Amino acid sequence: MRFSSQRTILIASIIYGWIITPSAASAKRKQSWRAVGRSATARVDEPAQVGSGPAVVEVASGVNEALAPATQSLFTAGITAKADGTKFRASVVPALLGDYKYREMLSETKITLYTDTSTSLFRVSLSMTYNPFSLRGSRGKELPPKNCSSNEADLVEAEQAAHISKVEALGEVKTQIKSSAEKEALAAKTVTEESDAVAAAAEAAATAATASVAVTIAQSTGEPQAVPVQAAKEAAAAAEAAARRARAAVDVRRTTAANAKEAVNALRQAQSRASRLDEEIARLTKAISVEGPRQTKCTSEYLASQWPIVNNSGVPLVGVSVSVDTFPRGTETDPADALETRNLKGWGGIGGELLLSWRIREVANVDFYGTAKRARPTGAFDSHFANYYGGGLTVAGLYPLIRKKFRARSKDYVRDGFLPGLGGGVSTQHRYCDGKLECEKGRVHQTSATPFVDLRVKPALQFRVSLPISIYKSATEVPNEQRTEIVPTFSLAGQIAGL
Amino acid sequence: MAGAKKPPRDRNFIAEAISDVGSLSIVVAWTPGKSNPLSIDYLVVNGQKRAEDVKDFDSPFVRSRIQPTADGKVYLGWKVTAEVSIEGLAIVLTNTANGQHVVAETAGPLARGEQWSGNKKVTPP
Repeated sequence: MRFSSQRTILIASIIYGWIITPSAASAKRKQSWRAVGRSATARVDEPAQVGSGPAVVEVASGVNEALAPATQSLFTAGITAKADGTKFRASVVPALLGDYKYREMLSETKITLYTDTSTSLFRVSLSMTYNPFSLRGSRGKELPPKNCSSNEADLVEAEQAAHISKVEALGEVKTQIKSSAEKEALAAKTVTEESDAVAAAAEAAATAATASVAVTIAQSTGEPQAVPVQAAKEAAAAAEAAARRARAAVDVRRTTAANAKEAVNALRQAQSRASRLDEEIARLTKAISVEGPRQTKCTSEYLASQWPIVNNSGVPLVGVSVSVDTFPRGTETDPADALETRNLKGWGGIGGELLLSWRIREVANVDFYGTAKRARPTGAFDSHFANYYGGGLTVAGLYPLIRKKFRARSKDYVRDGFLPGLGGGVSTQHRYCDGKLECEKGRVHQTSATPFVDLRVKPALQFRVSLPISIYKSATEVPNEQRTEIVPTFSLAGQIAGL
Repeated sequence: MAGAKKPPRDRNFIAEAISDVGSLSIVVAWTPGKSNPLSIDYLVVNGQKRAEDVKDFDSPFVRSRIQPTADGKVYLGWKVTAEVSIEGLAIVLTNTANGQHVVAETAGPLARGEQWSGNKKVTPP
């Protein structure tokens, strides 16, 4: 095998992917619709994207983005500018347009539109993914629930909430008691006044009766026949009734006074309890100001603990995609005969892809894909279909810069499972085309290996250096001669959210 | 029908059970609420914890048999954690007897890991 490094090109490309959500309010939504998405492996033959998270658009041939934990978004878009043209990609996940229950495969269905100005290619692809790394899927449901109940701060906070409600309730009761006591006191006062009046009336009646009897007796001493005995009896009875009423009034007065006293005592007790609760609240509030961060820590640890479980499975992510290529329709002049016009070929072909992606550890990833398509390289009138078959394997790893016990402190990790660090890996592909001269660039066999190194700082800031090395046999050049192409690529990748 | 037994003649137990259940319920609702887990860190009603560290995958989360206090009010305390991004949440007191409800409090979007807590005195509908 003879390697002739005929072309060595250095391309420094800056690539940015956009995550577009309908509103700023839902910008946050994109952060965690899916636990760990998979962005597509950028292939030699640029198949349709598979997977759920094109956080970074196609970077370089043969480079896998699997370790960048992209998330599923309603809309995504990206532009790649290179020397031979510009590529635009936009995707939508229809299941996120409404509030739908998560269904495996269906909820991860994505429609992608792709254009390439270098060939005027317009591609529509539909991809469906079984994503075992989704928090919303069946594996997400099996995650253990939060267990911060033993957390002192959470208890304190819950207790405080309980106390606050108790105090509020007590405050209402206090008001009611006070109001009741005031009413009782008013009633007591009224009854007292009434009883005083009745007693005075009784006393007056008794005095009058006594006086009347005395007068009668005095008169009877002089004129016995004129004694109005009946009147004296009536006066005495009236005096007795008035005295009874007076006694009853005095009893009522005593009872009312006792009730009022009880009400006042209850009020004092309630005030005392409220005062004690106020002190307790003050103590708890002070404790919370100290314990608050611990509570947050418990929640963060709980959420952070989900990622190693979700992102560690022998079950692979399975992606299936179908793509359809079209080219602009129209006519062009036949180069062999200037008087003749030929129709351009608008139908570009159809292709399919199967992706299996294992996340054997949180920081290690193995992807395998196979692809087949029948397509034409351009829309020119003399282009023909060719069959392409290919496959690839990517092995990638990450050396995280945050140790396990500190990961709960990282907001990016807690929210998205993003681990900053130094990553690296190799992606290899092979593609065979049976169309000889009808193959893209005339390449019949093409094998590529792309070692790459990633520096992951933030979800929105990731650097990649890759070195795609392609070995191919071309039908247009010397038959059976192997050629080598090396294209070192530097990429800056990231996301802009909420546009 | 084989195995089927006649219900007891005395149906009072049903009325007693219904009266015991009461008609007030606390509802924690969120959107999008389908297959979107939410952690109820705690839900305190009238000073009693009615839920603690409960995870619900689908909206709504409901606690029934709510009894108002002596003053006729319901005192709520709550804290929830979004496990995925959520656009909106609400704590609602419903009365199944008359079909009415009172929204105690609402909250805006919460990203994964964000928490929402509060206290509220609510007059039952």
